[in-house]
Amino acid sequence: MPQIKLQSSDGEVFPIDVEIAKMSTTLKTMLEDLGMEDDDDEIVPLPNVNAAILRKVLEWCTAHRHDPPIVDDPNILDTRTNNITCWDAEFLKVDQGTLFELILAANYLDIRGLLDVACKSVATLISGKTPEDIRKTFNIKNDFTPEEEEEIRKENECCAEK
Amino acid sequence: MNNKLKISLSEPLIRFKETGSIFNAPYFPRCEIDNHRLWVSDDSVRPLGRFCDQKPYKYQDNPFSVEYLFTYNFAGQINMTNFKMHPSWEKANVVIRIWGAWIDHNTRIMKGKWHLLYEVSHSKDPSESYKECSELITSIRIELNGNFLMYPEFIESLTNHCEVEEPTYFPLFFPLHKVLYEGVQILTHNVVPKIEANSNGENFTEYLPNEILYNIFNHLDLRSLSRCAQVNKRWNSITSDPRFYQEMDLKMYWYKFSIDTVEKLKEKFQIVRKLDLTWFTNMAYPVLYNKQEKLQYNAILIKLELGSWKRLTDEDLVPILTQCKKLSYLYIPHTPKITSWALTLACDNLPKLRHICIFSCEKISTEMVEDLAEIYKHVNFYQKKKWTEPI
Repeated sequence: MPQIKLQSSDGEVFPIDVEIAKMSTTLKTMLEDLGMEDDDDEIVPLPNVNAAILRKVLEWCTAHRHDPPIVDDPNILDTRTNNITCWDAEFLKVDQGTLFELILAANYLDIRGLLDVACKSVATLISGKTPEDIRKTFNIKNDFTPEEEEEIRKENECCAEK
Repeated sequence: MNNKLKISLSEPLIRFKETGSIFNAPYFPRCEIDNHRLWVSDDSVRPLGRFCDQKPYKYQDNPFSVEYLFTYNFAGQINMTNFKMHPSWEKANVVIRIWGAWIDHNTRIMKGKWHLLYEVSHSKDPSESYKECSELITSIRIELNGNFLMYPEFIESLTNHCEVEEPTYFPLFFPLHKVLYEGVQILTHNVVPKIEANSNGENFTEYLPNEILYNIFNHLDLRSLSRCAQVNKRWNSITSDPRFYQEMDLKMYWYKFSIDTVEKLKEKFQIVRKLDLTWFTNMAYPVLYNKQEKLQYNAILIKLELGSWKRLTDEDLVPILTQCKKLSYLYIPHTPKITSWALTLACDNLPKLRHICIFSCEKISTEMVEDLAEIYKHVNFYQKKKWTEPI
């Protein structure tokens, strides 16, 4: 099986199967555009991803390498699902910092499945919470004036109420 | 009290049964107790109207009839390890069984069977009560059988023992934490550890570009979106993205929307492609039939649900059935005034129409539907009591 080497921002080198690397659309495009597939010694630097996160990302990709590709079908609008598989739920039992770094890495590497499942798990943190609880959860500052806040509360009260 | 259970339920969709009377909550398979048997409909979960197709479900080893049961349907998987009953229940000599099942949230269909997770009675050692279950579970059902009759009063007295963080969507809401004392892990809520542990006070959401926040919000329902809109200015502007409102499943708001509310939402209706107004009956009329302005969303709707609109007539549907050329799903169960004329009109005018649900439409006979199905072979008609929702 052909392999390539990925280098994290902090210098660690990860040799991985090309098949797994290609789950990242970014890497896939890069490999195809540059014709790097045959060159085993080439190292691909990933300046935006550190070793800890890259290890997690590769763990996810290895576990999901047989997943069917995600296809966007405009006729299927049911994106609002909360189904997270047991494996993914275990995998995503991480602190908030790691979770958000994973999202950024998945976004940068364009790994659609990982991005979606990580975003879903952030969504479950939001779901069911009041605006104040959400702010506390993510340390978000309320930047509304009291007047604005009241106005927005009124706008949204029909659906936001418990 | 140190061991107070504090649990916040995002979507506590419950079914609540009290001997002799039935209370319905949206989205749950209906159950009925009859002669020591529990009847559960496990395929069709359209709750309103008459009973759906019911399958008998008999507890093989249950010496008691079920006196009291309620069911929770969680938005994510739950893990029922290491839980305890509230001590008051043990004192009360009740027999409690907890069952778990996997309900697919997209199709609302139960997959597999109910699994017995926990069983306790005063004669049993509680440590033997927990039963292993490796199945995925999104719903739990708690059954109570006891030697006292006044459950509501007893439940009321439990309130004093629990710290309650309690949604109040349904008048007869029976909080889970009044029964389960501790240790219910909702997996998808525990994906990230308690946020208080995030000691450096960093706001990680600041690092996320708008498109990622959009992706996150896209997994939320209307209620959560409305709450996100109130968090701060940035979130407010992201949640106003019209793309979030392409799909509006409003039936769970049927009892709290006023005409004013619907008017306010009109702007968001403009781009909706899937609209579920089941149970809205009179309230949504102004949205669909404003004489002055022709609503744009009509033309791009692909799925429309108007279940239980008792006064809906064929004439009412004419604008929809002639303008919504993209309509593929039309669900109008429990609409007693609709006749086969409307169905013919729909089939003739709407090239994309594939699914029509006319369950319990009194004026449409089986023969009429058979005739229509003969003519319009590309359309699926769902009329019989047992029907599975197309995905």
